[in-house]
Amino acid sequence: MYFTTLFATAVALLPLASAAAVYTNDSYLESDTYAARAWINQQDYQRNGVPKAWATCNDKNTVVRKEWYAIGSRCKI
Amino acid sequence: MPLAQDARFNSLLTRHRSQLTKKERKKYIAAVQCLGKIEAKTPLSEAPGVRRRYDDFIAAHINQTFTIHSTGNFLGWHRFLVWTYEETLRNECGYDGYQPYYNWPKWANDPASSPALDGSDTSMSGNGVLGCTSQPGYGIPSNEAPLVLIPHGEGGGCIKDGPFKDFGINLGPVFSGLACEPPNPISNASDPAQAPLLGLGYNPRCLKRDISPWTSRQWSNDREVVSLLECKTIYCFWAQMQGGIPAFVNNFLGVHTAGHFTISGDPGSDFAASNGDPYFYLHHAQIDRVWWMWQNQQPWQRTNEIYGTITFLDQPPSRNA
Repeated sequence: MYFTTLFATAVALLPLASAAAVYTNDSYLESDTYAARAWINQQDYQRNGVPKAWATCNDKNTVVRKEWYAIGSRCKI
Repeated sequence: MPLAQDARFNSLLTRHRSQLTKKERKKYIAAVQCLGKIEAKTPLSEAPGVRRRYDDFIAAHINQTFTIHSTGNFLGWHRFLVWTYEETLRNECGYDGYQPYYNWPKWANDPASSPALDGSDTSMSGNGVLGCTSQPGYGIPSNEAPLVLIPHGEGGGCIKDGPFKDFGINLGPVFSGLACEPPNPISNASDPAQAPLLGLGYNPRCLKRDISPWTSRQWSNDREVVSLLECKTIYCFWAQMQGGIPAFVNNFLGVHTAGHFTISGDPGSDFAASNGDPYFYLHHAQIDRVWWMWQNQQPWQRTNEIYGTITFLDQPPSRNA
């Protein structure tokens, strides 16, 4: 499950990684695609019986930290 | 279903399109300013210079500098520091948001134009006025024996605008890159009475910055962050983040030091007192975020991995953390 998801994520992210080669404030950064992958992996990590030390939307969890520039009002990476 | 069409995935990517509202930023700024007004909890016997709650965090960072940098404690200790700071903003200053981070690569080409550092009333204040011009640059790891010399920028003096223009700092300097600062009243390392309290005397002065795109363009751009995230071992990640082993050779700073010297100044360039500048917490929230991203590429293997001993650069040699 984990590896399947990881593989699928990697495939899905490839176009984004290429697009991120242009470094402007409005483009996606390649480094940010790792955050998306991390978030999905963390969901699988929790779903597969690991104690929920990193519960989603736990306000003691860095997963909900927000960027000064790019912020909404929902729980996020 | 392809992940690119997965709602979870798409929602993550659209988040960077949105802007933190000015109201949200102002709430965070107000909470930090509140820490600058309420009473300190650290006993004066432990840190004679503390005057406000905000100073408690600086005193802790100064006091533990050599056990929390270039040791196995580095990542975890700073994660805990940022978390306790965030909790204090909430519990003592009524903040109901989250600790924001400063995404270095997004603004690597021009950090002074970022909403966090543009000097507006919704920023963490901007650059300093031109100052300390007798100093040609900032030596890493020290001005006395530089391996990397960051050139003086357009600042170097007191920050000139924004919400933290008058915030000031009471502690340090300890190991400042800026050489124009009044010395701390407790700065005699050879005096046994002063040695345990170095830099912790009362020394009020303005916050100074010298924002350096020269630094961020080279060492905290997207390519550098991706390279760090591609590390296969915790040793690689830990070392590369802090400038390599040995540190700062081959003209390399690493994202941690580069993030500090993106603002430089006083105490931004101070190895020990750097969290006297409120930008510190946006920078270290990003350090923490990148660590989290690295951990969660392989959470089963990496969540509990740490590297390093409990002494600075393992001198003297010590046990693993």
